Amino acid sequence: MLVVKNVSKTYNSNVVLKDVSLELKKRILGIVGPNGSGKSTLLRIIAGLEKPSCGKILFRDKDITRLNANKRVELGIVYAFQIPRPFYRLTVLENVMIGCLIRNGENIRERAIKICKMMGIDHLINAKAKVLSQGELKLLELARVIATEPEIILLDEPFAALDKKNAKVVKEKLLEFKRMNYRMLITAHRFKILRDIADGFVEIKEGKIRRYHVEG
Amino acid sequence: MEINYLIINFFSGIFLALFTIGLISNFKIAKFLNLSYGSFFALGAYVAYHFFLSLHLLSILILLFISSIFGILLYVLLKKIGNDVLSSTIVSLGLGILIEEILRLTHVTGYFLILDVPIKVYEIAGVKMAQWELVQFFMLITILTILYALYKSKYGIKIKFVEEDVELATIYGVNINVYQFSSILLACILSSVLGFLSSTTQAIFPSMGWGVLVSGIIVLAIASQFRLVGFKQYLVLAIVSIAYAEIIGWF
Amino acid sequence: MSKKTLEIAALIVILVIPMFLNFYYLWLFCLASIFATYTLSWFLMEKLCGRTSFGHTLPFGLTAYIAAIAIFFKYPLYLMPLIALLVAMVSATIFYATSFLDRVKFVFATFLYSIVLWEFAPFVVIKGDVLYGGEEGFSIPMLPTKAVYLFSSCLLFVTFVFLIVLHNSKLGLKMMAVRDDEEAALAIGINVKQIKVLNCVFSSLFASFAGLMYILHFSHVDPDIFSVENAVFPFIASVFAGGYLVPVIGSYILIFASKYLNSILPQFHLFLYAIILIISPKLRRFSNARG
Repeated sequence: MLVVKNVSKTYNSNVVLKDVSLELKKRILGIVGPNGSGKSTLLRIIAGLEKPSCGKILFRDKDITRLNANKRVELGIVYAFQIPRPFYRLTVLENVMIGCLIRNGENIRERAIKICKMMGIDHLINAKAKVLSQGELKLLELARVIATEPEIILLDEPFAALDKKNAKVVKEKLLEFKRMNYRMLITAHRFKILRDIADGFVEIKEGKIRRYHVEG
Repeated sequence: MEINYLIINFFSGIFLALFTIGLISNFKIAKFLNLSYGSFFALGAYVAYHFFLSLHLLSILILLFISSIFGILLYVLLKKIGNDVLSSTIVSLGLGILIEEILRLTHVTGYFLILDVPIKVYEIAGVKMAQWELVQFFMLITILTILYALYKSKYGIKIKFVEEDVELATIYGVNINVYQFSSILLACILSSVLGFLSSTTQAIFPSMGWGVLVSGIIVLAIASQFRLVGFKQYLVLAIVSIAYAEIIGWF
Repeated sequence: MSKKTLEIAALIVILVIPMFLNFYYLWLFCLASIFATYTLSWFLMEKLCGRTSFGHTLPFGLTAYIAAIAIFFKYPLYLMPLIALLVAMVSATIFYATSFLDRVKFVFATFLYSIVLWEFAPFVVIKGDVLYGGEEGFSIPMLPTKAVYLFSSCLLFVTFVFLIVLHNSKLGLKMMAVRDDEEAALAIGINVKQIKVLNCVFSSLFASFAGLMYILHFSHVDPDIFSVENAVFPFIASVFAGGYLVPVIGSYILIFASKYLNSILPQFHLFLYAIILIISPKLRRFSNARG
């Protein structure tokens, strides 16, 4: 479905990614690696927020390398930021409604309320995003992503800066997404973090794929 | 003929470099674009108009006093009200308009004023230069030398710290208020002095500083692209100013 | 009755009242309505795009100037809206290109546009049997104030209703998302470029038509239309902004206060502008906290 072919990325002669290739066959693929290994850059390239120096991104056999991020969302590839990026001056409901807008259609408000209920933030729908805690912001970020009705969700370190309690809540939501058959590419520092979620793993180090392990 | 134009434009560039040094210093150290800068320029010209003929060079003391008062006022307003780049810039714009209006309202009898003082012209190596042009040239050399010495001194690293990250500089014990106050006060005085020196070369009117300010901002924007720190930014600024003046003069 | 309906009703009352007043007040209300439209055009960019512009004299003043010159060359009045449209498109292009700068540099750049126009407008001179333009500007034949007021009040009403409808629409929501975080908006599927273009176009359009109304109202335009005073007017009128009616009322208050203060001392109102500018960060923080 999603194929990354020989992607490299260089910033001012600093090679961040070197000849990276992977394929999202199973539902959930975990990308693990230390800080600076290129995990976030890879995800941003797949999302269309950055362009690769060379290589291709194929989605359903179509080359989407030059496609802008918003076009990729229309195709079904959506990205969730490591540090949540809500629209601070809008309410929680409006934030989620924006995700719903991509698919047009009717009853955007009702759909957004339903998603907020699913994510457990329906009690905050009229609150401005700027007053939310870190954990609530993370749930809002996920709600907004789900609202776009994606096929593939790109999650950049979803547990970053979360305490144990909130990390557990987020993990439960990701498992719920898994049961709902969403495909996901998730980055993390260690295998242990994604052990219960991912079907397969890719280890990335210094911009290169070191190990590729897929179950089944 | 061509050489003369080159020299005229060269001295315009010197003037522009002097003008923009204060602007860049305020932008880098005090973290705002000083939109009252043009009004200080006009203020200097008006002081010259009123006092130069009677007091001659002593009128500079009056200039220093008046521009210091407004410079300190600007600093106080920024500290009390401006909490980010945009707010501070808008506050400076307000003060600039205030100064302009004070000048306008205190000179209702005539909008354009002329300071009729004979300009001394010197001829050096076949090239004619006005006295005030030479003064500005030596001012620029002096200021650049002082800046070089400052950045080489123990204060230099602290100034660079403030330029890079104000918050971090505060955490590491740098008294940013001293540097920001000095930057604002000296820049305002510099602009006033330049207005004082230019008063014999053009009509004096309250909004005379805006045109120069625009040129200063354009030069500042160009010089900022080089992303330099320390003394180098001022040196590049001087070069860019002269180049800008030559190009504009050529057109 | 919803808040929106109340605001529209209040605006209608403000627009209808001058019809029953004497000529001077009709003239003053006409001027206030033109500047209110100008302020709303600026406010559209600030509230829905998060961009503070000090360069809205570009569409406003340029339309007035070009329309005056066109009328000087005996072009018919019915072509003036076309001029406003053309200037709006040019201005929108310039604003859009400038929007690639960050928000702080956007303010500086747009301010530069105003000052540059202010400095160069005196050089716009037409050589006929005498010289026209320059510092004196251009004059056109006077039009009936009532007719001009009818058009300017309709323009203000349309602008106001448009803004309210836009704010509550899907497009408005997308604009506010782009305002808050461009990259996040892109990541969630919003065509950020398209949204910014639309915002610039709408803002420039209303400012241009306000400029057209200005020349029809005053029958005269000079370089001072590009002055700092006009560049900062919308910012000052919106200093207490919350909803869309407040900038309208702010504009009216500023115009009336300016005329009153001018009668005490010429240009004295600029003191008021300066004071408001100086304390505006305090006032805006206050209005943001409440809003």
